[in-house]
Amino acid sequence: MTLAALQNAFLDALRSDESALPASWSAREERGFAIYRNAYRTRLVEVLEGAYPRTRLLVGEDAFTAAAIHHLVANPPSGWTIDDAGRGFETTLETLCPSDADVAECAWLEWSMQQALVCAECTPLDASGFAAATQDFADENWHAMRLSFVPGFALRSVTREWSALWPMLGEDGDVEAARSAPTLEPAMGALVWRDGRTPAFVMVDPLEYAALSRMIGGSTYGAMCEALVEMAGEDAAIAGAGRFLARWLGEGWIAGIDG
Amino acid sequence: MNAIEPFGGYGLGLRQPHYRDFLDIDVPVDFVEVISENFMVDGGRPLDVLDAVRARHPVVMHGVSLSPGSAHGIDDHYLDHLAALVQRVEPLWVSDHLCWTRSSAHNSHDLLPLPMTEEALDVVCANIQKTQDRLRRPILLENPSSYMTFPQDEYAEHDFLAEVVRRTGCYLLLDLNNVFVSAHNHGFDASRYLSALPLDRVRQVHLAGHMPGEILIDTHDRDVCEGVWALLAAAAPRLGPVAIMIERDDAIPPLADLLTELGRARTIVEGSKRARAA
Repeated sequence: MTLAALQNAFLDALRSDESALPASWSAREERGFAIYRNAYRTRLVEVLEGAYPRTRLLVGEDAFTAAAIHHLVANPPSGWTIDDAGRGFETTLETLCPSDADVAECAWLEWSMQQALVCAECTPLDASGFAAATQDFADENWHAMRLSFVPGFALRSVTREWSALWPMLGEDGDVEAARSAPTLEPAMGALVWRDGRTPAFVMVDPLEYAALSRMIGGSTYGAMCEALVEMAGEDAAIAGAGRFLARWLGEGWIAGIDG
Repeated sequence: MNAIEPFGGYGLGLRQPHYRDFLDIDVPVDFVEVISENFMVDGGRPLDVLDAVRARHPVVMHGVSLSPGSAHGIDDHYLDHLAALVQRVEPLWVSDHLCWTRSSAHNSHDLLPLPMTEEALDVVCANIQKTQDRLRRPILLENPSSYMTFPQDEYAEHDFLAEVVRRTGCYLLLDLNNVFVSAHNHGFDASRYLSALPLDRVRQVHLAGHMPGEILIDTHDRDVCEGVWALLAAAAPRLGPVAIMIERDDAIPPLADLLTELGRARTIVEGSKRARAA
């Protein structure tokens, strides 16, 4: 057996009890191998526990461990950083808990905050920089303007008021209270970024969520405004678009202007 | 390739519970070891901490994901990140383990044992050579702890390591706890193991604790045991100036406790030096 074949077989056997161990191995080698197999699973589950403490509290320890093992079997780590083992866990939870949106939303928030903590440095565009960059804009330039957002910036639709739920799932939190919090109707947006050196999130209303999700998706400012008109009518859209842009600049969410 | 000049001193690993200590006070260590992968990130607070610690102390970089024993070669993406961190930190040296962590498709994130074969030797040497060429410096290779050997082994581990050193010009990070653990698990004599290594190539020594049992487990979650202290006392007269540290990764105690353990290492090694001089 070549070294490459041995390593592939070894790793397959670490991941699955059903993979056969080499026939030439004695009980002594199998005993040693069992330690590696146990360490592999324990370590990766611990990584997920560390990355998703609030999600773990929300679903309960046993259910979390089962979900973590399911995730690691379906998505065995391939990257060099062990932190990536938790990537996509919210998608796994969506599949495992289709009627419990809280769980995937919480996992998404935890993962996005963790990513924001170590994202690349960037000096956001401030109001004066924006004014200087757009001072010669004609109407068509405003219409064609696209925005890029700072590293670590992430947005998703959520059905719970996470600003209130977040502390309930922290140390000495109250899971029951979090579970009984009302569902948002309509859904809002949760937005994650790094505020200085600290990951942060805020809730945004449905109109701002629509505006942001379009701009993140590469829409022009003009197309975004047209979408807001359809959603909220012309007056609300015009007021909203200007207010949103001022807020995004003020919060330091915009990295630059494209087009 | 440049030689790594000996650096004699006593240090600790930088671990998250002690970040505040290292930022706020002048911790009495001669160097600090950082886990490379913890700082191979794009930005943010971890790099702030690293830069601040680096401004106060010489730093050595210790990795867990190089996978020099991988038959599938070194991950270029990993190597690029490692090289960028080396450029930022300008460490005394860079180290990793004699092990493999990944196959063609997946990563175990564990330091897995290598069969001690001619083929594995060629693979390890080629991977270390590539790493050293990319980093433009020799690296330190750490002797592993292991829980199994392979029926196809052709080398004793110490001979394998010596041959890697001879072929690649790399240096050694001697982990005395790993020697102790593997000697127990595989039934070899730790003193003979040490005697067979090219000790003049050792630039750093790790001291750590392990979980006792029928098979010893290298957990780094408790104090250094008496057997490992005895190994240090036996090895010290045969080592040149080396960087000695307590390696603690789990159940991390207050910094003062680790400094006390480090003090014991200092007493043993400095006592050995005085005895040699007398």
